[in-house]
Amino acid sequence: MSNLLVCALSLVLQSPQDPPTFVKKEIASQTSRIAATATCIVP
Amino acid sequence: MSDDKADNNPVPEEKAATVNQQAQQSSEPAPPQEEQADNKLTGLMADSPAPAPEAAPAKPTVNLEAEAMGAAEAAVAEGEKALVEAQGELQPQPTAKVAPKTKSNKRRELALRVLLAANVLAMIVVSMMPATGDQPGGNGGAAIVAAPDTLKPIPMSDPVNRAMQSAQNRDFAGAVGILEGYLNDSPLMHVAERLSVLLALSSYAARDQDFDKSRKYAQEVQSLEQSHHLPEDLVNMAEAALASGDQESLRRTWARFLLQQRQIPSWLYQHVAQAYLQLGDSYRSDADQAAEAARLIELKAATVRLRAEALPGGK
Repeated sequence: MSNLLVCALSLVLQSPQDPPTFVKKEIASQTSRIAATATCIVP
Repeated sequence: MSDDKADNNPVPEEKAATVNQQAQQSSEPAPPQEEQADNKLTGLMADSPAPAPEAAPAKPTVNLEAEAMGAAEAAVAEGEKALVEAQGELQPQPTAKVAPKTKSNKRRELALRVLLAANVLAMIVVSMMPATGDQPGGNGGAAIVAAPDTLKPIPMSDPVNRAMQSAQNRDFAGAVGILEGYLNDSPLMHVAERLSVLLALSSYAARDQDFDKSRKYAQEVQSLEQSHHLPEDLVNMAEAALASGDQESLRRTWARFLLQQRQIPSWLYQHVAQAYLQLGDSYRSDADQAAEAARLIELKAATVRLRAEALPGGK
């Protein structure tokens, strides 16, 4: 998991408000990229 | 020929005489017919020409036949009379038999009606009577009445209820003291109950102007909310959120799950890819909706701007 995604997820959990749209798009692209690889299953 | 027979056989004459006597005896109830027969015989004798001396013995044969005919007619008349009498006797019997049947049916119907009315009256009386414990039906009523009492498992002596009562009396310090004592006395309290007690403590402390204590309990609430979720709990929570359509809760749950994916057991690895996909899909749909809404706003703004620019030009 990339550092960017970790930061984004941490911000999501810390902030009571929804993240802005560009953050959502970035998280969606990152998660899709990670999910598309088989390495994401191995911790 | 008949004369010869009559001469040669005197016995039939005697038989005919006996038959005539019997016919006379049997025709006693119908003397007019016998008289008519005698009249017929006398008429025949009168109409007939003067008998010759040789034809004198033929008189008894004619009389016998006529008497036999008369006796037969009398017997037929007797039979008809007997039939008429028998019919007269038989006709009232069926009516007499039917009448008792109808009477008995009416009596039964009346008895049934009376019984039905008595049953209805008894039901009305029983329903109007107050239920007592001695009666069999009274136990059910008592059980039904006692059921609402059993729906109050928590007495007013419960610390939470006492704290609420104190808070209603605006004794927030007392309410905080009661709940703090309750927390200290029950260390094995269920997580959900502990969460609610901590929330109440934070609220009552804030109402009591003790903001430091209120913040402390609020932080305990937050840490409790974030600490007790195991990865399998997070998976279950995510599934529940997905089933209920709560996308925000789903995203937060999967985010928490992904941030601690290095600690998850191996049998939950399959949910890592699922968490990535669902998290990305949820954010993507939200982002698409937000982008669509922003585009619509821009289009409306552009439309308004273009109209504003076109109207002065048209004029």
